[in-house]
Amino acid sequence: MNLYSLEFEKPIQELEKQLEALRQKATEQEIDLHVEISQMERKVEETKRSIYLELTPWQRVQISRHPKRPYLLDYVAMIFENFTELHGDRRFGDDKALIGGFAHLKNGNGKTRKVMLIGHQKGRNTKENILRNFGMAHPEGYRKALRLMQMAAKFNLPIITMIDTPGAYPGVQSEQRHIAESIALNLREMSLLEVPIISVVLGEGGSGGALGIGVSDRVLMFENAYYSVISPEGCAAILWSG
Amino acid sequence: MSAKDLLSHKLIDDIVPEPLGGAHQMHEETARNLQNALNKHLSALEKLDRDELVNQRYERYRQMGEFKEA
Repeated sequence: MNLYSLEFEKPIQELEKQLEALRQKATEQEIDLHVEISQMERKVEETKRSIYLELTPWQRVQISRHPKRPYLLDYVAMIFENFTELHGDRRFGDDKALIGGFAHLKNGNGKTRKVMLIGHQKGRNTKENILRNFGMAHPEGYRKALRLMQMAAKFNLPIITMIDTPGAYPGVQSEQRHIAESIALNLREMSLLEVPIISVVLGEGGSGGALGIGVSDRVLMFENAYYSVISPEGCAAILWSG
Repeated sequence: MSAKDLLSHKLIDDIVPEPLGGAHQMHEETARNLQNALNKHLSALEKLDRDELVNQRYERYRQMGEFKEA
């Protein structure tokens, strides 16, 4: 898949194509084009800077939702070891949109730190997204998260939560199992846990869905993430519903 | 609300940098930035005792919000 697939990235895509064509020409016809190539490379770099250093809020939202953006399990593979996923809320079932378990966070010097890792997981294609419910958790997800956080407190392990959700799932089943209560309870209990809690907004930080695992000592955000009381579409639907 | 806006209102504590063009352009670099940020903040928090930790967390949320008297 092309890494420049968004509308405002078209100029970059076009220049990269030209650059690729130049390189191909140079190898195929064995002519020295390195001056032209380095000129083109500079032009690509300049265009990237002019676009990415002046992103509008909506462009940022688009980047935060990019299907190639790393998700929780990608970070697990890159900066954690021995991730042991734990399942279920001991009441209703297991939520695949909000997952968690014990893990070892690498510190870059060959050492690790034991933590409890909890966060939303999105999917990359339709099949995965149906399994993960597009990163929108049900009450059982938030109850599982609380169960794991209390377990972490028992073992005196710091908690890392990774937020990446458009919001908690706003469906009938969510209400039947009382989504508001499950999130509210998490807010109260997270404020009382006696272990360090760090939250990171990886991409989308959608309202209560984010806050349900987001009451922490430190809240970090990725540069192109957003954190808001409602998704832009949800807000537009309310504002212009008449 | 973007990370910069939220940091200026002190609603978040730190911004994790992404490579030019977004996290999807370079997963490894993004992950390294996250790893450094997590370790830095965890090291700081580990120095606090339990009461300090919970009190600071409480104060953090108590101090959120800005308003002007009309």
